[in-house]
Amino acid sequence: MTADTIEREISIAAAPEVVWSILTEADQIAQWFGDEATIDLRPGGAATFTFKSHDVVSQAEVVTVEPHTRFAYRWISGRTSLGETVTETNSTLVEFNLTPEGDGTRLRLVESGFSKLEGSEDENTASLEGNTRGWSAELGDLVEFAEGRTAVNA
Amino acid sequence: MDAAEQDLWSAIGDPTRKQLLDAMLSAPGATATSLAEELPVTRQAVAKHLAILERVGLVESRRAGREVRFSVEPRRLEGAAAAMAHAAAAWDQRLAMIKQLAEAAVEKAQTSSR
Repeated sequence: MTADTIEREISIAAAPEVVWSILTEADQIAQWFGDEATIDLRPGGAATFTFKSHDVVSQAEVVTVEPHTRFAYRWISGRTSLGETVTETNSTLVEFNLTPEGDGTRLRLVESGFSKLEGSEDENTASLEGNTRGWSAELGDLVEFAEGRTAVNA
Repeated sequence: MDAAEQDLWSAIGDPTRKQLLDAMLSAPGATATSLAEELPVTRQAVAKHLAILERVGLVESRRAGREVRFSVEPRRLEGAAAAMAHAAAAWDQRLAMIKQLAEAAVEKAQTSSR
């Protein structure tokens, strides 16, 4: 476990097939990740996420597609990166794992690779405007993530 | 990412150093001795970890008479911690939304099949 990984798990009262389409279909993605999305759903396929309120279009690349089980992509977040090549030093890896749980789904999210990001501290914190929480609370969060505790929302 | 940034992350990644940062956040101006009393480690170990934290700029020390007092350097910590906290809070919101969308889809399918 490194300090640069975010892990979350949530139980959803819907079958993995249902959760899968929400995670991977462009019009569904736009409901929970930004305002508009495009996706070429195959390993190496391109994806874009538009965040109108931040005036940002993020470039992403699909990494893993195992229907109803695993979906992963790398994305260049926090700034407009449309058309840029996605690399290990300009993007983070987002992985979704879906496990059947009764009639529902256990969904696990891992975002990793923050410590490999290049770029100035200004750039890395540019997207944080409006975050009014104190830094003491943020350390608490950081420690929590680092220890891999999961927030169970269900 | 330059070497300094990498050092910063590995400095935070160590459990004892995270405890030290926590302790210094609640009691700024702590000494190596007072920190060793609070944590289950020796004063020597505390001094070693403080030196690492100071080297990456997460902690600053100042001499007060015969003592050296340590405090967290907030701006440095903010850069590292805020990015993670922000990203994680965003995921909490997104996952809650995914759950809502999926469960609403199931409900809709059940209603229409009745």
